Amino acid sequence: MKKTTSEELDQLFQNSLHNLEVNPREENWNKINDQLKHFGADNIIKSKLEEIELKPNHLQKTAILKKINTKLVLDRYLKIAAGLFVLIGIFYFSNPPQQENIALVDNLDYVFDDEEVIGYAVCKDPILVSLDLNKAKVTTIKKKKRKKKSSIKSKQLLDYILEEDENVEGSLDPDILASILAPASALPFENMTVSNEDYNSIYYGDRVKEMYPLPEIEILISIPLQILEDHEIADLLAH
Amino acid sequence: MDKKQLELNLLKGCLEGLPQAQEAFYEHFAPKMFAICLRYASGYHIAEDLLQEGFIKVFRNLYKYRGDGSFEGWVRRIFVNTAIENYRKANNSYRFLELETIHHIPTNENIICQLKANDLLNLVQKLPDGYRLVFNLYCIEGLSHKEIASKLKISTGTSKSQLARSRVYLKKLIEEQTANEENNIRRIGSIIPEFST
Repeated sequence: MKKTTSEELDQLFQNSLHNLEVNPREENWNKINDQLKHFGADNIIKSKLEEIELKPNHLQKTAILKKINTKLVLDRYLKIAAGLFVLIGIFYFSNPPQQENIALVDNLDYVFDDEEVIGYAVCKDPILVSLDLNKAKVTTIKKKKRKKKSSIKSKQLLDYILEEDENVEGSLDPDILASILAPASALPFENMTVSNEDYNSIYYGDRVKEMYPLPEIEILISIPLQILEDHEIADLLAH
Repeated sequence: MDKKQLELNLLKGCLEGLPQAQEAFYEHFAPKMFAICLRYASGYHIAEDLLQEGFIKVFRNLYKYRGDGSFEGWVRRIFVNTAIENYRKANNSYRFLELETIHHIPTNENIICQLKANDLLNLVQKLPDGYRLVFNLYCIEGLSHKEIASKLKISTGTSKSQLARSRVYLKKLIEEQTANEENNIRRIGSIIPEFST
């Protein structure tokens, strides 16, 4: 299509139709007029309201300014609080708290006899942990049945000694006996240590390194103190 | 009283809610605005609906006219925008036809020049909606492709292609119309020999 032809066509349509006037049917005005009746008043009110200009009271201006200032101050405090919160968060995440000094205690009853090990701890480093037996709570947790068992054992040992020499009681020095019969709390502190090194290396290998020292270890030891009957001890001490 | 003064008086009367002023306002603008509606509509009844809708909008928004620019131009813009909105509602989105092939149609310029305004109006109404919209906005309203693209939210390329296709379509319609007229003359000539001469 030639450009000139297109332009001519456009020109023809523009000249003919741009200022074209066509009278619509009268019904159209009736329909428009019906609708105009509904909002004629609104239109007037709108146009009048557009012209109105009201100057606000100076008190209102002051109140608005006050509110704005309060809001600005609040905003400032909120910003500071938010900044602090962010800083605390950064500090916390950059310096995570050290792992709590909690011992991982596994039940290793199967390793030892019930009478020997009641409580223990596995430590992070294979170090020797001194135990202050003075502070250690010595309690008997075994049932009476077990007590009887140990008592029976002791008596059998005594019987064996007595079988060797029936006058052993007379030959015994009361002071030596007293020292022998002294309670466990009075035992010397030296060499009263416990190590986890052995069984760690046997049963845990490298895992020992991952564990933590236990600050306090409660050891419950059952010691067969009742070797002699009370009246026998009293008799011995009377000598 | 000149045209501008008349329009301002009509505007003032309408703003005061005077029924006579409103009717006079309608009488003054209706023929021009109805021609616009006919150009944008695909039929007479649709054009009437557009006319009513457009005038209601004009009366409702008269207080918004600030006095800058031609008042007739302001009213005209409302009608054009009403037509675009109407098209948008009808089509839900702007759909523009793509002709499968665009053939060059040779047209006799004399034939085109012989067409009357009403014939041209009928031809425009026969255009598909999208073509008619772009053709009206470009050729009659004088908007640029950029302005059309912005108004219809389409690309300038689409606007250009739609215009080109609308021209081809119009020429095709003109050819068909002239061919029909010639056939009619021949048919009448065969029945009445004097008529053909």
